[in-house]
Amino acid sequence: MSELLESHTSGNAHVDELVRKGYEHGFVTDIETEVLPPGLNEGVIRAISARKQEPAWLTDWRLSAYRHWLTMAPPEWARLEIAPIDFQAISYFAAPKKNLPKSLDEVDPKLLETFDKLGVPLHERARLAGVAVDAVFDSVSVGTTFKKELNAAGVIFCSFSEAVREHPELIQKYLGSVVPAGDNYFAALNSAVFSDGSFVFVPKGVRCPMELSTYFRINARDTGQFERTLIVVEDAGHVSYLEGCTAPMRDENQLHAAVVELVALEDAQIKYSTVQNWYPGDEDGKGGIYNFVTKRGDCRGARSKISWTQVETGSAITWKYPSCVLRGDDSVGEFYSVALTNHRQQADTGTKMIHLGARTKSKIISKGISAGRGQNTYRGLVKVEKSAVGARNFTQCDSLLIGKRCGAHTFPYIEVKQPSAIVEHEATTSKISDDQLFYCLSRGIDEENAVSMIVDGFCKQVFKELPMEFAVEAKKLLEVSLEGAIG
Amino acid sequence: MSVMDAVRAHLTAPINRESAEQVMGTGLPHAKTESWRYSARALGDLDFTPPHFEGDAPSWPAAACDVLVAGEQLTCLPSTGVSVSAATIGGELPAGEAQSFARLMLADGTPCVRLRIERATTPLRLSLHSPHSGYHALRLLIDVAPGVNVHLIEDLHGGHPAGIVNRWVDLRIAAGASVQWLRWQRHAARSVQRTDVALSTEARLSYTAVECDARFARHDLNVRLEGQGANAMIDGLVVVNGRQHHDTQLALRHSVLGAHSRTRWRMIASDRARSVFSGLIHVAPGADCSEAHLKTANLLLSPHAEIDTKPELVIEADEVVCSHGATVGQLDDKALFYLRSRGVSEPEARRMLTVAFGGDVLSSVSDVAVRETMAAVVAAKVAQ
Repeated sequence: MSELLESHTSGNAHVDELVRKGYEHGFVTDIETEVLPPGLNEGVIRAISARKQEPAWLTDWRLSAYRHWLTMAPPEWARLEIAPIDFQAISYFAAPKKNLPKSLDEVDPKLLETFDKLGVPLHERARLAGVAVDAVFDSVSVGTTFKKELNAAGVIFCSFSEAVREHPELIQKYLGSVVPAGDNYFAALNSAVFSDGSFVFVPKGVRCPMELSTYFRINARDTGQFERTLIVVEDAGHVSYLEGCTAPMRDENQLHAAVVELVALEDAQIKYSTVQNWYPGDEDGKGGIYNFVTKRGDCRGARSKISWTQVETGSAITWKYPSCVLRGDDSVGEFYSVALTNHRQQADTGTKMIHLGARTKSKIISKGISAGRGQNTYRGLVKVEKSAVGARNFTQCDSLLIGKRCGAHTFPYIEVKQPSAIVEHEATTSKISDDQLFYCLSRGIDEENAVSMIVDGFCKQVFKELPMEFAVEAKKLLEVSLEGAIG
Repeated sequence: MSVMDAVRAHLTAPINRESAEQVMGTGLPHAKTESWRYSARALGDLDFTPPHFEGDAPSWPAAACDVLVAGEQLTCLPSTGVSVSAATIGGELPAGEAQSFARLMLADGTPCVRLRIERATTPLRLSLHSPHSGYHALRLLIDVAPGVNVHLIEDLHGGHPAGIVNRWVDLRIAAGASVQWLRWQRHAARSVQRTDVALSTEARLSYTAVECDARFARHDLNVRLEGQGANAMIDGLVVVNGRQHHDTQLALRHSVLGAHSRTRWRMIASDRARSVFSGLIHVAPGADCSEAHLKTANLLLSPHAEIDTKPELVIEADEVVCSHGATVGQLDDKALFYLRSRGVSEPEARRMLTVAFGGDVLSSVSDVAVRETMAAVVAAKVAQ
């Protein structure tokens, strides 16, 4: 059998070609950008705040986050090799140079072209797809579709800056209530310099009539992107939110440090899906995005539910742990993840489920795929406090190894203080089974398709949680990144 | 007396006081030391008499050789096939607080006793006893010659509740040799222990630990599979109650082709006890075709007890099959109901099920008499 495999793998030029296939979102859009000079100090933070005409309390909030950040050291516990980051070499604000568009018609056509290339369903496609999109280009949100329809339903979906202007009371109430300004090194940095992002508010009893979506793109050179997303769903509300990310190919590393806060009140449900395809760097690990993201959801109300689904195929470095604080009784947290590392990508990702309320439930399904020289780590915490009577957790982490030089690692922390809780964790690591591959080959399926089918099957549990158009994109992304990595 | 005070008292006249103080200058492990995150506080916080359960002395199988270690004294009863000598152990340990107890031994020149086992037809008993209060160190190096099969019984007993034992045992298993190691921790002293096992080609280790006593016990068990076809089977049962704090950090390192390991670790915690288990499987680059499985199942029997477990996988090789599983829960309601419907009282039903839970690990003890004694001790402890 192995001979058969060898004969298939050695001569598979087409597959090799696929592996070498470039990053298709790596173009740069040539539009005029207004960029703050590189460097970070209180003046820069005041300048960002002033440019966005923010109220004084928010400026102070940023400054206190910055002062706290100065006292912190970058985290070193992750299994990542990170070259030192020069925070003074980064520009903390870049915006397309034109007055902020009042409607999509005023958006720079070149920008729309960019989103077109990216396949963002921003315009007509948005209507067809029934998806409301907020696209964040470098630091500024450039357009939000479907505003009227959402307004009619009472849903607020706008850029963060707009929310600060229009709904300051909501922002003041919820900003930093899930991820405090000084939560960790990168969250503190984000709190100090965040430039824009999205805000969603779903009032009591409203089921958001459509899926909401944000597309993030870093375009300008030497800039970092620091967006902030805040989603608040009141009692019995429901929202599904999608997030996608791309960046141009550049030789230097670019920084992305985002914060996402979710608040679910009684009976509320939030579904947050991400397809992360930031530029991963080239085969030798040159360039690529450093992706340091803090995502946390707070199930504040009884019977609330927060579900994270992520497909992480991009970024040179991924440092990301979407978490759920299960505060309300009977609340539910879910985490579904596919993380792929190829070439020299490194990912240290996972989740935290903090059980505080009675009968809280959590489910973690994590699929890691390592190819090339990729290093893929699952790091998770399941914590059951004394108050979480009858809590339940199930965790499954599977890793697939493709090749001899990659690594797959699993670090789950389990801390239980409540005897009526049931916590289960299982993890496996293996390579693509020869038997599965042989079976497919013997049925006349070529290796490329066979690997694709097997990987797709491996990830199915997660893909089925994604909204359909994202599931299609995610599957396509994996195929491009992976096929032929075998052999 | 705190651990630091005891160590300082011991350092009044050490062989190499300067370097020992240098070691202690880096301090004891603290809550930010990753491998001590669950135990650093308990270590610095020990100042009352622990619950002490000595249990019945087991009817050990007739031993060819008793190695008695009391404090720093070692006596070896005459035996054929075992030679005893003094050894100097040097070597560098990685910097950092995590290793401070082992480095303390290197720095203050703790005498090391070396046992070389050339032949062993009957079990070899290591009787480790630490009668005094205060700090004492035990350093033992055991070499098992190629092809030898040895049955090792390590009995940690007695011990002064205010004592602090710093124990470090090296076991080197040569090619084709096989060690069956039964370790019973039933002493009262607080302990920080370290065991390093190295397995050569086709060497086998079958390790069973039963840990019941000691107010505070920390054990770093490092198993290195360095020879092709090496095989390690690790079993552990930890039963803690009162305010006991037990922490086992297992690291299984596969560094060559085709080694196998299998781990089963069970913990039962009640009252205000805390039990910690971290099990790392590391498959280094080149250790292709390794197979490693680890399973830890735990019973949490009181709302004030805590179980922390961290099964870790670090895989850097190809063609590897690894898995780990961890569960924390309580006794099965259905099983309880079944027993009660058969007229068994609830406390008795709970006791039976708890003992049965530990039975899985005890079943790997081959000697029937020893197994039964241990089962009785576990049952008595559960009934407390």
